[in-house]
Amino acid sequence: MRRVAVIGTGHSKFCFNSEKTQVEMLAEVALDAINEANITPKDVQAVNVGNVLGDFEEGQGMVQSFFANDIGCFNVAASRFEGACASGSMAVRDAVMWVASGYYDIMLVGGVEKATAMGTPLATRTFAMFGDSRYEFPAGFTFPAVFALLAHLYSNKYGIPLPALKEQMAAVSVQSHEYAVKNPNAQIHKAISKEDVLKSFMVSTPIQLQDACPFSDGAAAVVIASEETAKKLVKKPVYFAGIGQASSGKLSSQQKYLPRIRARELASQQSYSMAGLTPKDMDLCELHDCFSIAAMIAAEGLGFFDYGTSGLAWEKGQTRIGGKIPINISGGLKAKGHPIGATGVSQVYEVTRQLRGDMAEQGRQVDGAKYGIIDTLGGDGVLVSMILSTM
Amino acid sequence: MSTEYNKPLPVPQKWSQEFWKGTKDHKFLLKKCKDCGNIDHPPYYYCTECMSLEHEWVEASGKGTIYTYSTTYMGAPPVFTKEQPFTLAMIDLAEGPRMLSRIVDAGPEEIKIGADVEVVFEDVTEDTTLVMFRLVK
Ligand SMILES: [Zn+2]
Repeated sequence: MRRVAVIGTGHSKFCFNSEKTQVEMLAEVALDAINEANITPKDVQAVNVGNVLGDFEEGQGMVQSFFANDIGCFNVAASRFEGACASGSMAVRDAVMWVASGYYDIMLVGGVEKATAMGTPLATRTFAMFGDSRYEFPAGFTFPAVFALLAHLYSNKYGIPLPALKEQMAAVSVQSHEYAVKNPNAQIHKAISKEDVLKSFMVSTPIQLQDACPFSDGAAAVVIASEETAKKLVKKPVYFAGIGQASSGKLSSQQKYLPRIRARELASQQSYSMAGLTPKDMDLCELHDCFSIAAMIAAEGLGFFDYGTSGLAWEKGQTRIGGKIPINISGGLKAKGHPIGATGVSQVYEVTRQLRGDMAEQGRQVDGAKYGIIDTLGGDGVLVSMILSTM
Repeated sequence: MSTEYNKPLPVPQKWSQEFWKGTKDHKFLLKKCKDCGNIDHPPYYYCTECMSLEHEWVEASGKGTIYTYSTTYMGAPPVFTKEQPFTLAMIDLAEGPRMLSRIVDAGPEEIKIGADVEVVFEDVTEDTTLVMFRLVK
């Protein structure tokens, strides 16, 4: 397989109630990525797009083909990926394999979502489609409830009294908001305190409103190319050192392993093994913090902390710049925002720019970072892991 | 009942029809592997332990304990909004499987990990009866 690199990046501001259509949002970020890659739209050989609910949001499916045509990528193969919140990462991973195989040399990958166009009631209903609809949804299961079950389980299994766990969870949200203030693309530019988290509305015990990410609109895009092409086009290609993807069934099928998520551990092991690297080698991480407890579970599943200890790590600042492993220096899904189809591509954007050293002007550069890992979880069923490298 | 029920209904699969027939008669049936004795719930097409297709349906005791739970106060899809707060749980059945369900007739403060529960049958339409649980007091 050939080595593959990111050579261009684009990212919209994530927001609530975007005035733009999904095709417009995608077109803008794609052209930014194409310009940065020093190519033109006609150089793009194929397009992959992560988009989950476009049909429900705007009555518009097929955004991948329409936006590709609108920006001048005429008649290329354009594919849409749906894996709930991991759709964007699936689109990237698939493109990496096409370019690695030699079939394509340059691909454009985008992700887009306009969830807030649905209004909260429909958004809540459609998001619940990514759990099991045959046995679990009829009882009223939603994703806040799923992670709330895991939070109680986490407390019980690792012997952390609930009040202490709640403080640890709050520390996760507080850190994400703090970094999002420095990220111009973030949806929420407001620092919050531990008290703000603990006095916010109860959603599903013990998860409160400030333990959860918002509904978001936004888009992100990257151009990827083979190593040989990348070196001709840009000064600092950022390489995919390892990729992994795994899946699982409905929540009840995962019961023996919970609160750990087996598919995450498998996907990240694939990435580490392909890269020949270990968690200790990572300089930063963007992980799937749809809920604060989800971030803690993810950090352990990726191998950064022992099971039951990641909350303490957040409290001690080990997840900040200068700490053991800087996590979600973008503000994460919690405060950067979570336009579900775009999230994985946004994570790749973020880690690529960190590895190129572009974040200094925003005051959130992880100095000298060489390796970064991204982790994206989709519904009950998809986990994607990718390791990016400066070399 | 019947026509007024607007919440999502379970979708019986080829391999779970016996279970849903059972709940209609207020019987909680579990799918047991004839080769290794493993019980899967919800029912699978195959035995998740040994992949066998040979099985029998056995009636459960309806007893279990709470493995984990959460009480939802807000954020449920519109059809469930009126029922908030309601409690969802993973329940360890006496026969072994760990299933997802709802705890009814209990205040959030009464519900704890490890609490004993027993099955209740909720007839939600003429054709469908759901399995839920209540605390054993
Ligand atoms: Zn068996």
